[in-house]
Amino acid sequence: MSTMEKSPAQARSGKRPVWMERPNPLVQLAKALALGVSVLLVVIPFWSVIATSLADQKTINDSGGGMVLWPGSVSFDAYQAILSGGVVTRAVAISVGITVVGTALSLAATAGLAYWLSRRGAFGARPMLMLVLGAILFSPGLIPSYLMVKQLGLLDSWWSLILPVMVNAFNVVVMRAFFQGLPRELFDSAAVEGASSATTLVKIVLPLSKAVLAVVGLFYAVGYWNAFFNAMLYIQSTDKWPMSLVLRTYVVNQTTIGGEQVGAGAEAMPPQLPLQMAILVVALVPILVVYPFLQRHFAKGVMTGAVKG
Amino acid sequence: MSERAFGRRSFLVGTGGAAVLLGMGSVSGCGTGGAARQANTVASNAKVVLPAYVPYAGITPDLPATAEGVEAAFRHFPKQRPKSVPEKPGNGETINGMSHIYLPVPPGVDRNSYWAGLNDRLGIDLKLQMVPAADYEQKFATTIAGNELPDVMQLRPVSNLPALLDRQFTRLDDYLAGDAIKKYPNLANIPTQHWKATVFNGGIYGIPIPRGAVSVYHFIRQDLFEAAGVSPEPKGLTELTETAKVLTDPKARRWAFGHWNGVQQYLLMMNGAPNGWRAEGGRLVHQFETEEHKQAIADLAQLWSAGIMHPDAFSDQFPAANLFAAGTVAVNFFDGYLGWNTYIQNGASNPDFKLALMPVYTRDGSELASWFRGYVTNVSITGLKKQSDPKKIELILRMLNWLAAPFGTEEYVYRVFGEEGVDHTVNGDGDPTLTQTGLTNTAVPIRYLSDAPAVIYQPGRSQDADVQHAYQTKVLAKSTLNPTVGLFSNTHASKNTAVEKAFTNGVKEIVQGRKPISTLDDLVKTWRSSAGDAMRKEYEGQL
Repeated sequence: MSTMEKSPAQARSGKRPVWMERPNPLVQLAKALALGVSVLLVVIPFWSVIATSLADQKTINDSGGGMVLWPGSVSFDAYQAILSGGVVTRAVAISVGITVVGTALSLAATAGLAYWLSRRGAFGARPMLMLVLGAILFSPGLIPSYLMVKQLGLLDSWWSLILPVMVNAFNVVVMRAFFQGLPRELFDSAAVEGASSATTLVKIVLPLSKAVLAVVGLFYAVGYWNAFFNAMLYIQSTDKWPMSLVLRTYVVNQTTIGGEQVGAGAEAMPPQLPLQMAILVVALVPILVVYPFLQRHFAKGVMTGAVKG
Repeated sequence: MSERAFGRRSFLVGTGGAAVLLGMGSVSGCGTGGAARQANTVASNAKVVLPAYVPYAGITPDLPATAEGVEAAFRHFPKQRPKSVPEKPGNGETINGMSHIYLPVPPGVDRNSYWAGLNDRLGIDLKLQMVPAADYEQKFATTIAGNELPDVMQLRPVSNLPALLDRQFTRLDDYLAGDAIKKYPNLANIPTQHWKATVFNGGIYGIPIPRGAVSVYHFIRQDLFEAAGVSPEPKGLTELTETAKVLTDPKARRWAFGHWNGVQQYLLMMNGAPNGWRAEGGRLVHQFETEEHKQAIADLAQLWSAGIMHPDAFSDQFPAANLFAAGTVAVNFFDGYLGWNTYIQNGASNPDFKLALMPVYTRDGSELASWFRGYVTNVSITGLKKQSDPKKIELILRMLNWLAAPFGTEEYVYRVFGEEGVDHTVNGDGDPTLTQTGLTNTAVPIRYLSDAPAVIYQPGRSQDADVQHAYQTKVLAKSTLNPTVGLFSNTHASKNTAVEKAFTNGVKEIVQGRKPISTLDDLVKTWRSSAGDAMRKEYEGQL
């Protein structure tokens, strides 16, 4: 700390400021170590998941029944078990469809609503905002939601997985805050040029809001991708199940019950732990694929809600 | 574990959502017979004529079933596979069903040759809604609330079940009571005791899914016992503790015991505590209120402090099966008896692996302790939606009759193992084994709509039949049955989950030494005032 205190004086006396000094190699080393350890703390569990998903029962037994760091003899049995029969592959396709369509609709609806609420003096914006905020506080219960979906005739339809969750009030608030942060002059000049509200939204607001769109879009996409509960309630034929619900029958059921599942004379399932870890990997891959493309927007986007209301 | 599904587990899973069931909507009960609903009392229920029991005689097991509830055992799959249902149950009709599923969900009927073949054999287009077992309560609640009942569905206990059955489900006395069931011989093959759980409101409201009276096994790794040079049958608490100390070596990551509840249940049996409730001179006493229970908790605290239980023993996510297969724990007390197959599979990669079962002796080791018979020995019951067409009801019952085909029959082979050459292969001894295709395809959860009484059979391991049969014979020789089995308590269905959880949490603290054993009395007091006394009253009213 003492060097820090000296530094302004040094800077004033014509020397280079402290942040331009060559760093102390010891400090450098310590930083590298700290960062390395942090990275390892993140990477090792991840690696362990992958390694365990490739391990066989013997390796797992030898390690005391838990996760392994090295799979020993690599076996793809777990992945084979998941992907055979075509149930999971079909469900993945369904999930991709729901995620893409759902995210697109969600973004359109959320942006539209947020734009309305962000314009000062827009007709009815005030009561609507109260409604949106109210939706954050109060959520309908399980049975009312179900009855609503049933009355709309959406049971056993993929729309039941999209429409009830299409607009998330929190995301609306985040997006509204971002829109409000755009310079007013832009809106004014657009108005002077004779642009309608819709043109302003499409031509001016949205192109300037890529960051928040990326973040909110990712929130929605992850939500659609992981949602199983609504599918469990609303989708009756297993052929229409999304991936997360199908995978749930692999993970949850097998852990809760020892004996009931297999019945007389079933051949060995792949050992449970690798199966669960393989499922984790399968469920993670799409998000991992999408994330790097959104990452550059991410930091700016998540900050939006942090400093503005 | 699932053997207790109908008794306790499903209450624990959370009946909260179901509490609203009856408040919702107008219920469609159009009461065809016009018979007024009878109260769900012991007087009305006692008058019910239970279905006759006509055991299936077409196949002789290698070791017979007994009156004490020991299951029939088969060393090999029977060579002859007689047909038990001469005619196709249906004629192209469609039936909607719903049940929970414990296995990965199978492909739909158009991509599943097994399911298509099943429909063909049934003569019925069976449309089945499958619900992950962990989510069944919510799905059930919404299905009832939305008045979207399938024709036939699995019923797990919920609050106000008797009233729900009365309004929404078919009373089956006319079809099943007494000799009427002989029209459905495979259903008549279900022993009478299982039918008791289907009686509500003075009538029969479902088909039971029967399981063995033994309900649980105390599994041990005999290879580890032999390596340590200790007897796999310790008699009494002292011997048990000594044995466990030899088996434990924390430095090598090895402990004798796993999850705490298994050990607790073992000690409860050892101390002669009641199996749930005990009738004492016309009154009911609950396990929690007895000296035997207190002693068992004190013993458990001793075992915990001796360091012979796995350090994670109190975790809800204790991976018992993995640790047992790995030999990290040598004993897996009180696990579902059908788990035998799973553990054999888990141990297959280890040439030394030797699975065995430990009997329970009394605390002083002088004799075998009394066994806790299965709570209801049913997984669940299957209800038929209320409908006016008796022909439809008969059709559904014919289908359930086909699905209950006994072990070894042609129908059973198809139901469990599918088509030979596609879904299963048969070895030289005639034992069928599911192929990877079969494993995927046969997961259709029809066994929760109707099932034959379970039998002991481990394909490819004929000796296992003798081991299990001998164990069941030994432990069931002296057993206690919970006197409230088959009775319905609404307090139990609506409140027991939370109340028992609070009690159990208190017990955990005592066992781990954070609270003195004297606090157990307060826990019992709280338990009594919040649910215990009300349940007692409701049960006693039905005895």
